Amino acid sequence: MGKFSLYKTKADIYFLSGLLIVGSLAFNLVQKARTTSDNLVANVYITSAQVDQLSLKFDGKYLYYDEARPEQIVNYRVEEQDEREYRPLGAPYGEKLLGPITVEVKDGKVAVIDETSDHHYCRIQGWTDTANWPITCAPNYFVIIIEEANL
Amino acid sequence: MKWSTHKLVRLALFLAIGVILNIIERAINIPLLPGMRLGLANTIGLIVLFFYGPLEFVLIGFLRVLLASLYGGFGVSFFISLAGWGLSSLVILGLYFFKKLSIFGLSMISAVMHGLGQVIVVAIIYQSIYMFAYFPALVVSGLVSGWLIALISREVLRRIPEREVINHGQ
Repeated sequence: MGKFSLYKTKADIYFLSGLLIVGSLAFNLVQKARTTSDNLVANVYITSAQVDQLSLKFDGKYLYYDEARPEQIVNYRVEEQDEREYRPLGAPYGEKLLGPITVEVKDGKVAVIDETSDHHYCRIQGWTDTANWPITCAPNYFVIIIEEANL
Repeated sequence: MKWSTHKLVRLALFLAIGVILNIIERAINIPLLPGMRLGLANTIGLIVLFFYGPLEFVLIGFLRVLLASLYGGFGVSFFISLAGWGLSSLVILGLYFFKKLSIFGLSMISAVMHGLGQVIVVAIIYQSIYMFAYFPALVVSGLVSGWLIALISREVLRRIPEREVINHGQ
């Protein structure tokens, strides 16, 4: 019994280094293979379907919500200085959202500043201007990716 | 497949410990890295693999995922953990037969593969390849937790006399 060593071997080091090198190379290649351009926009996806495109040249706040559940944004509307642009999402996309999601574009960067979820991954992620580096709001099926303009 | 009663009881006890560790782990949330787990139950996998062999390792691992899901529910999370377990077990068995890696290499690669399997299933469920953006974070946390788990398993293995587990009553 006991066909493996309890103490670290040289093969460990080689294998783990190899894994790290191959892994990071693959990851970098995937990143670089995707476009780099001056004409970048923030695309908004629900699952894999694009639902909106935001210009990074103009600052703004955008409120995405389910068209079928307008009562969810009643509180937003009563705030007097609410500068958000309303972006209702119809079927079958709106129902994927757990609640309204607010996206802000400022100085060429984009961030999710308000959403409904357990862990708030995408809000924690903060501001980004990196192309092809998505902001993912799980479990809202809501993804923002800065990409070359295509719409 | 003829197993002695002694062996069946030992394996059942290992399985029970694995399920309990799994359930305890659900309660521990690492605030810095949401969704990430230490993988405490993997210590049982390593111990079973060390004392018994690949067949018992696969059996106990699969039953553990199944039984832990009785507690957590057979929803999306069941498929995510099944995929994580499946991929990591596959890779571990390959490396086990390769016979060059120590418990540290096995455990660390297992933890990383666990994360990879989970990311693949999440990417399929959410229909988004971009879930892989989360993968580098999983690699780093997998290497750290894999190392810790290997350390724990080794200390346990060193303290259990092999005859207590294998030969007793024969």
